Amino acid sequence: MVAGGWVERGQSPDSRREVIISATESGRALVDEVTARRRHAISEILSKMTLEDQQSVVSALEIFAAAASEPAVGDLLILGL
Amino acid sequence: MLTPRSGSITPSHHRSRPRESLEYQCGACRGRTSELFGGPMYLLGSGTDCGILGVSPWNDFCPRLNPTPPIKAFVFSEPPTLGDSSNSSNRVMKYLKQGRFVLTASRALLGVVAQSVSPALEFVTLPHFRVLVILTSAGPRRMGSLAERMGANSSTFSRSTRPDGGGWMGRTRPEPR
Repeated sequence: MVAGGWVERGQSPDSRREVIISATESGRALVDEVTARRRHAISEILSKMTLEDQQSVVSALEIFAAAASEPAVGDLLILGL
Repeated sequence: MLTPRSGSITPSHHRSRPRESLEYQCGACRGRTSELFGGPMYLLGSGTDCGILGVSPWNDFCPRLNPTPPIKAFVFSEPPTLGDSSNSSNRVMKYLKQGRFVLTASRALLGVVAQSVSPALEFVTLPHFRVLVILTSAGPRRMGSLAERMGANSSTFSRSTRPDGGGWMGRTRPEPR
């Protein structure tokens, strides 16, 4: 990932032995593009609905998300989320 | 109307085991219970003590096995019919429909996820993309804490960020000796 220019290794200010990993500009851009595409796709879908339906979808999904609670990190990794 | 599509008797040595397995088809959406639930429905006896229809996983619905079933237990001694709003088959239908709609919606959302991430996968692997998600949302991190969030062994994980081993382009075959 370092060679690809997506992340860079740096030294921790606290300890010389510790390595700090951060995303590079292109790494951040890659994630931002994906997020933007996802937002766009979701709003495209929502725009096909009436305002009333949009509101019911949003409130239904809020309830769904609350009941499902935060998924495990390992599960999200499968989909790259 | 729910109509039985196929029925079979499965041997039972215990009262609480499914005695009869019936598959139902929804008259409205034509979906079979095996499609909607990934398994057949079971009719447990016909008495009132354990006359419970379970839907696969049937123990979801058996109050003996699951004290908090998703919907109240119901008895089917004959193919259930719709119409009576108070009858249990209406609740079944509602539940079947809900399951189908939520499954369809989840598939649609997964489609959105897959579409949004797929162009990025031309450049990085999924696990590497996840690393970038963590780093961009939580900021720079120590190798150890990053590996922890990835659920990976720290030393293996560290190797994957280096240019030489298991690098960003994915795995490479070792040179034949």
